[in-house]
Amino acid sequence: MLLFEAILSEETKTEKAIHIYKSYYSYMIYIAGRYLRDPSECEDAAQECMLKLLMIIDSIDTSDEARLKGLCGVVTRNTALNICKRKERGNVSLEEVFNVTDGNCEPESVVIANEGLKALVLAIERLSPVYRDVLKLKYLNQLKEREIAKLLDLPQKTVNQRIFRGKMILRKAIEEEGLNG
Amino acid sequence: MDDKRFEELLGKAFEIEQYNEISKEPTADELSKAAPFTEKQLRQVQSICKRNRRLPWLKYSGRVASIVLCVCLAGFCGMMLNPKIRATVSENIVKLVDEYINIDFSESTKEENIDIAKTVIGYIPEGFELREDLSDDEKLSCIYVDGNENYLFIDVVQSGEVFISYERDEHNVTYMNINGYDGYLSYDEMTAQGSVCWGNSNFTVVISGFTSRDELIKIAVNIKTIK
Repeated sequence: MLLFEAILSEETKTEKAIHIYKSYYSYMIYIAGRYLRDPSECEDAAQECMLKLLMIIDSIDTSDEARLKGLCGVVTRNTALNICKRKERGNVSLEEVFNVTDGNCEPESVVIANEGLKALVLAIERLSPVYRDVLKLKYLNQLKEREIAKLLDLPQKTVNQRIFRGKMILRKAIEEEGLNG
Repeated sequence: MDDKRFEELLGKAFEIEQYNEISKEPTADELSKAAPFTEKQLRQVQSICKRNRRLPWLKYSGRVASIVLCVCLAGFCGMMLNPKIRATVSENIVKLVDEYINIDFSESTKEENIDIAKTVIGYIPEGFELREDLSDDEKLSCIYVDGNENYLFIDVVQSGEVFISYERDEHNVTYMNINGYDGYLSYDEMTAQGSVCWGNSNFTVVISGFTSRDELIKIAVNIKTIK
């Protein structure tokens, strides 16, 4: 019975993985292409990303497409950057790479009634991707610190630190706007 | 703003930020035209899933095995703190080693044959005299007797089977290396008689009789082959 359940669960996982890869493969390649020039490297990044997602496949919610896309985006971006770092292409820091490639921090035309929320969205868009990615995985994808660490190839301590610092930056930003409370 | 409220707000803010980000990116159709999902990718993901497929109990079997091993080791160490158990274990280990591992630190056993014609008995204890010599080309066989009618037999035969099958009282046996060959001394203190036997697969030397242990060994080491 246990074996049957295990096999069934493995089959569900495979189906889930195929669904994710099928739906977001092109998107993964697109994100990886921002950082990697070689198409084969982009494919490697997509595969590596899929491997990481498989590690936490049970925690992934496939019902919300936007969240799933965000998750794929964050993991692929980090994977591509790790490939860059591994191949020592340029001696730029992670923050520098993000700033060069992710310069589009203009607020969008989403109508936000709540002033506090509006300020927070603005602050998130201005936030360094180093912090934004971990916070996004935690608050948008509801992942645990341990899972985030696995996905981003980071020690759990670093993830905790980034979450703490990121939250501090965001809190400070909305406090400066005078919207505390 | 308290932490709970702030985190709720963060969740909502990230959702909005995500929709904003998606709206800036190309549509799914545009993306799939640039990098389509083909059969190759399907095989890729299937093989990735296959490689990562592990049954749940196998995932933790390594950890469970290590924990069980540690517990057993700790239990064994705890038991070894008891002197009685320690003594029993040590005794059994010695027995096992004796049974299965035969370590001989003496000179290695020679495999050559012995020449009966050139073999001489170099020492006979005081008081013993030759009573009978039954030696021929194939064997050396002498019987010595002292004044008290105590017999001493010395036999050298060109057969290893005698050495292998020669009867011995295991309780009184001391295994030793004699003249470079495997051998043993069997001695009964009560009756003051014993025997020394050594050889290999080609020959056997047996000395037996009513004399002391030291004298038996002395006779044994003095049986030599003249070159």
